[in-house]
Amino acid sequence: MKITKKKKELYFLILYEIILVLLFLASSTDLIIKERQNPVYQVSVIIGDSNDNDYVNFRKGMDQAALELNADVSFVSLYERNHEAQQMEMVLREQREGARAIVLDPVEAAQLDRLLERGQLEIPVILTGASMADHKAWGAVTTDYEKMGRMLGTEILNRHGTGQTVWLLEQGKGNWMNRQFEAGIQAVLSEAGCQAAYYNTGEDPDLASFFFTRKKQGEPDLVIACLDQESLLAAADRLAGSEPAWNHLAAGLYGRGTSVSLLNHLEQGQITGLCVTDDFTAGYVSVRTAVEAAAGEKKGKDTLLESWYIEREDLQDPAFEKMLYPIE
Amino acid sequence: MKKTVRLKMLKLHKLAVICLFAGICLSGCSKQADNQEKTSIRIGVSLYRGDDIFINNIRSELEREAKSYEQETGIKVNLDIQDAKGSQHIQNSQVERFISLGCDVLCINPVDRMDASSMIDQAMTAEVPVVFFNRQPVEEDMNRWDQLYYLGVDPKESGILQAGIVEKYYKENPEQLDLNGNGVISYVLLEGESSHQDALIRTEWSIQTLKDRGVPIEKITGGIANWERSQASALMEQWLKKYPGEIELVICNNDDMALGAIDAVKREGASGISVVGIDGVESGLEAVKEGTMIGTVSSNKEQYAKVMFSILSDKAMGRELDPELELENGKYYRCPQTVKEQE
Repeated sequence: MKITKKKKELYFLILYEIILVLLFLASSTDLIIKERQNPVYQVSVIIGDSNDNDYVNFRKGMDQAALELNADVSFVSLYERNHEAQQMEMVLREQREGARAIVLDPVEAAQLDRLLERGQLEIPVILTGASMADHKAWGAVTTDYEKMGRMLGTEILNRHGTGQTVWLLEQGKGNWMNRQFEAGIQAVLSEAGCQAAYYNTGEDPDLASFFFTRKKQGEPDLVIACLDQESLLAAADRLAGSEPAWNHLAAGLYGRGTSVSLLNHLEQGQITGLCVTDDFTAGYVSVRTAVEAAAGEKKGKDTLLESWYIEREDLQDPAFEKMLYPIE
Repeated sequence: MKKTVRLKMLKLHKLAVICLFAGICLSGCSKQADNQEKTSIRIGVSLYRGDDIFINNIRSELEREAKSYEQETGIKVNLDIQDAKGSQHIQNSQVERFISLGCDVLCINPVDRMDASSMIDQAMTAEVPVVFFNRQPVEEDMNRWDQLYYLGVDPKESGILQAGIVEKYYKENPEQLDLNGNGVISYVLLEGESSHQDALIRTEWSIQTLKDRGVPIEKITGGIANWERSQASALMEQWLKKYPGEIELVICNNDDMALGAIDAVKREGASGISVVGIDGVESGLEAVKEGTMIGTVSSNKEQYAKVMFSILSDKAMGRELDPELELENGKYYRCPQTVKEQE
């Protein structure tokens, strides 16, 4: 049987058309080559503060993770600082609005446990500034504050010896981080036989009364370790204030934190030493953990991030410079 | 037979008309339902540079407005604020991302006011309204769509008010400005970016007004410090070394550069030099209070953010703009300014 030239041309045309159709299907649809699914995970980050002044580097890390991991991240601050009920309302609101996971810097982590126990919260929660060992969250990205406290206690003893009372300052009722940090400092001081005294700024938030009383009692060389950023900033502001007689009232002012105002005080000399963390990495890892949780990965664990003790001259160290003032 | 076919056709036509009408009604209802059910709005904000003090002041006010709107209405405001780090390329990507994430409206502080067309294209395609602020895109771009708005201060007014501060200070304390008593005020000029319309207009009107009002001025030198404190400080330090004892007045296009000039004056131990700024940022107002700056032109940042948020929220909710809002040509808003001087 001989195929005529006309038939040959027809077969060729049909084959050509089939190839064209196949090419179209391959390039324009996912019938043949399945397009890779690239889901966007909606993650909400809820802090306990009413502004993001102390979260600048954290946000940069968070934004970086959002870009790389295709996450849609909302950053939520409270209407009033440290308002527990408001924070829980925000958590529930974000769940209602479609968040697939929440990163929470809790005002009071026990409140979160209650929501989870009652079954009101069905999405995974990743804690920052609290350990999941004590709570029912999906995971936690935090720092070993007890270790940080020990590190600071050791530095204080190295500089001032054991003969000096160390004042531990705190604003408000404090939180898990403060307690861990305090435990670390106290442990080192008591092992060395050094005395510590606790002062809650309470009604004296700008520390005027604290410094005035100490000055009146003739305690010029105060050694102060602040348990939170607020009391540290208040003490540094007070020492940098307009009364020159107070400028040298403290022989040493220590604490923890990475906000620009604290770093400025360290540079200007009001703060002697500071325990710092890598907030950019904390933000990045928190969102990454939240995306893992939203993607249905099995329950996480505590991710502990490193901390460092720095003094004024360390601010010039390129490694710390990069960590404390990240450009992305 | 013919009659049955015609009847059938008529029925089909009727059905089609009914379907069409029902479709229109349903789509209208669903749109209405969309608006009624909207429990959150999403606003994408891109800042030309996150470390600019004036822009940061506006940002804080905008966040405050968003929070009070949330508390008043119960509607969640998702304010996605991004820093373009001075790169138009990054800003274009941010706009693309905002649109892909479903932002209802965009709020853009353009990096390059001459290069806003690509962002406008994207917004027009996605039908997402845009509110530009602080850096005005060129008129041809602004006229491309009726869903583009601009908020800023009137740079001509800023310049005239700044000149007024110097004029008043000179009339009240001529010896404080004319330090060498030669009858002429020798000044240096610190300008913002050369591509920013406000920098050019502020300079032009400030100097021209001083001349028109008979204040005897003479320019020693000038330079572009790109609105930045550190750059202004470095320039001023150079000038203090190059023209020792000659500079009597520093005219600055913004407060941040004025503060940089003050830093240099302090560092070099020079005294008596008067500095004047524009913007009324917190640190600038503080400097006026302390007496290190003779005055500044302060824009009402609360009003700025209030109007901006009002347009953003109305557009995000699909509502008409507040009829009491007076917009030039239906799209430009000029924020009021006041003078803050040493008491």
